[in-house]
Amino acid sequence: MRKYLTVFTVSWQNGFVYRLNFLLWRLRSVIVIITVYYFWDAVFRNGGVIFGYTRDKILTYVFLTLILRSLILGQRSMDAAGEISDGRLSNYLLKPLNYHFYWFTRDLADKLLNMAFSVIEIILLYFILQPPVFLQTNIFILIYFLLTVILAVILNYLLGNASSYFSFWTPGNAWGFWFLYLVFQDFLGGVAFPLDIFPKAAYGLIMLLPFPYLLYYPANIYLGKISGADIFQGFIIMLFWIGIIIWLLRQEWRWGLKNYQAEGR
Amino acid sequence: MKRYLIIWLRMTLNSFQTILASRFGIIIFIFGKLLRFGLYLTFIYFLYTGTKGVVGYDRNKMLLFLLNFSFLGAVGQMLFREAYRFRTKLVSGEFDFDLVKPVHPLLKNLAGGFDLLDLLTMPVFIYVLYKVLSLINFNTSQFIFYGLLFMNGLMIMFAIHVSVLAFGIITTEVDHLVMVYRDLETMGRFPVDIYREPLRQFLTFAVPVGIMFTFPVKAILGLLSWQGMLAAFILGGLSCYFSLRFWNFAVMKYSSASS
Repeated sequence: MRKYLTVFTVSWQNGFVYRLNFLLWRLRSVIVIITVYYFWDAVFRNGGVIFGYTRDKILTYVFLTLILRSLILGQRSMDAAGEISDGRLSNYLLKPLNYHFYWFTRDLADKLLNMAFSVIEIILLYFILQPPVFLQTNIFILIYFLLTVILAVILNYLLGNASSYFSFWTPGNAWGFWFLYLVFQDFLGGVAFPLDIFPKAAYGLIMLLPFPYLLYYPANIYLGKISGADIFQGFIIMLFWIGIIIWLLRQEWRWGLKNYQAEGR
Repeated sequence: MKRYLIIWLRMTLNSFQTILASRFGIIIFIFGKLLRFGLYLTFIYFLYTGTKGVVGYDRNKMLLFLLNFSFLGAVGQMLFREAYRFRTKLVSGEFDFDLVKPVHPLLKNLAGGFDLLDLLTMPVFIYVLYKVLSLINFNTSQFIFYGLLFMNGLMIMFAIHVSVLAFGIITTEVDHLVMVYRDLETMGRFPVDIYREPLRQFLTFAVPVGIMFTFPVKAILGLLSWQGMLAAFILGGLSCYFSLRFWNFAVMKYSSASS
């Protein structure tokens, strides 16, 4: 356990070495949120209810995604793809540590760093944008929300690593799989827009995929738009996907290592 | 000029060969780019089933803004892709070799990596743009102004990329800065009218995403005043002039410290 704590500390410190890089990275997140925020602000400029959202709820949704993006989607483990591609993985295979836990620990450090900065951004954006905030007071909903966030962190880590491990077979296309994953994250995860604007049949199909459970689902639990049996169903689907992807990751790792040739070393 | 064209064609051919070496990668990227494009179109389509208009624009007009953004953005990335690889050259000292060659270093470092992937997605963008344009009423002069402002947008894009490279020489920071620009660029996916003041003015004249992406579409819709057009062309010319001045200043400061 101590070695992972050291990995965590080193990773945290690493974030402060390239300070300009990190600040520009955070600036990018803010730009994305401002774009989405103003788009929905324009859509609801005349008030009313669209797709079941009032202006207050949609703007809370957008603002909530700012916080959840840092916590759930912030990760460093995409670098694992590069390590496999250029043979740096060999260094880790010789060390007495679990490669999956190593990246999970680095991800956690990155999330904490991003969260710390996003608190500052949230305060600043709150005063600049002055969004109408919907405060959830139901303690049960808040507990469900917290549970889904924890599961979403795990799900995102697993999905990201599953993308990275394809590099065992196509080392030159490491970024390609990540690019695809990011497209799914943005559009089917609820970053670009809430998914319930789609017709019911399409929405039902999308909700069977793992991506909506990264941001859309936790955010809507908080807003109280998902309740009762739908919460239970969501948990089952999340756990199902976590199980499937853990199995897939194991197979990828097992077969990938057999295929690994340490190219570039 | 002819010599530069021959060199550019040679570099483009080399870039094609590099990309074609990874055919599976081409499939993944093109699938991803077209999927993203298709999902945005779907989003706009369904959005207008719940609302009649966004800041006064109907579905077709909003689609036109999105398509113009996608098309111009893809042309810019196709031409200036090499800028994204500049930092590695700076920190490894490889940039020294470009400086001693009898060709302007910007040719290689800005336009030397023509992107085949964007070229392959282009027919889809052009076809959908053509289809949406056929649903909108405009006259010949409006179309000519659209073309001119489109080229003006491309010029500003050139100026921004040159400035990012120049900034990179001074600070060795390129990767995130160019991505910050890309994120700011995405604010032009929809008309800048959706943003409230003073952000709207900032995005129109300071960045200037509005002039690059919103103005050409406003021109074809007949919504842009002659003063707006004049301001756009002046800003386009000035941005090119100052970016090249900044580049010359940055090259003078280059210390080749890492080589």
